[in-house]
Amino acid sequence: MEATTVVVAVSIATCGFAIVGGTVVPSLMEGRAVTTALEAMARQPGVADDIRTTLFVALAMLESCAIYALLICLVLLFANPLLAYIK
Amino acid sequence: MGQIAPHVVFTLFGIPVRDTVVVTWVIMAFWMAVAGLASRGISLRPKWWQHILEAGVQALLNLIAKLTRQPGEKFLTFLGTLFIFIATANLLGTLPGLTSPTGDINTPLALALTVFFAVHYYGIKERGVRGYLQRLAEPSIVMLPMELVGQVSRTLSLCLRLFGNIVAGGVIVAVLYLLIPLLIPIPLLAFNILIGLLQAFVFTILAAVYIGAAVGAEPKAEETQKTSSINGPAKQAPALQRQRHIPAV
Repeated sequence: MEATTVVVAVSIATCGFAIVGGTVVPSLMEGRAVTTALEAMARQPGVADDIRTTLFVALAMLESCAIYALLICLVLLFANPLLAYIK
Repeated sequence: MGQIAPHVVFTLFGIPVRDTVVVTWVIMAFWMAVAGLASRGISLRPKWWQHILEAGVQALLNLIAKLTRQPGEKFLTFLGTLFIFIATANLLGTLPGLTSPTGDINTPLALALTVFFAVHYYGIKERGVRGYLQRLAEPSIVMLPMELVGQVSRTLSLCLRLFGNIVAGGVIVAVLYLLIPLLIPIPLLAFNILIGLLQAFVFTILAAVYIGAAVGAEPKAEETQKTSSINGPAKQAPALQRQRHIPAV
């Protein structure tokens, strides 16, 4: 098996695993954040605006971790820099 | 990734110019024209467009005042421009044939670096160089390396969050155009619009929080009671002096 084939195959497999982990874990944690925020908003409607803003900031932070995983996968699949070193 | 990646359109004085830069110029020209024309026609008997613009500016002022706990006018030029530019840039990416400027890594990186320098600028302007450096070493001098690393990571995460969201949306729509171009990309284009506006909002919020932390008051062990109003809007209230130290995230 050529080196290029091995590298590409491993990249594809890694991307699969990375996307699975990078989607499931942030989604679970974002769900927990939203649950707590909704309960707090139901308990204290007066500060609902503050809670909503904080919720959006927190969701953006969590989402950015998922985006990091996605970016690595996109780079590995479409613009793999390591293929240039095998020639 | 042939034509979805930003590509060079023409060369200006020997420097290759990308299509994202051209779109940035278009955005700048558009908003400068809107601002110039609107400022000319402002009156005490507002027309319809003055109401819209004033509502937008007031919303931004309230948001900035709430997040930075300072009068909103201080940072309105910077943060308002950030929001308007990023929102327009993200939305233009959904139009066919145009590349969103924030889909090129350079634009979000430039914006994040601008926020980085603005945080230090506003902090030093508000507290002086010594006071600001003291605040960096606030809990203890041992935390200073973590604070510095935190600053770098905040800037990087701002950049990558914006870039990643926009590029991911573009790639998904491009792949769908390859597979089922008929009607399926439409919900994803709508999703891209939502994500574009949300990311502009989040970028502005985070920039405001960082500036507020740099400019904020000394931490004191005092009451942090805030008048919560169940009935009326306390949003127009002036900045509240809540003494609380926001650690660098």
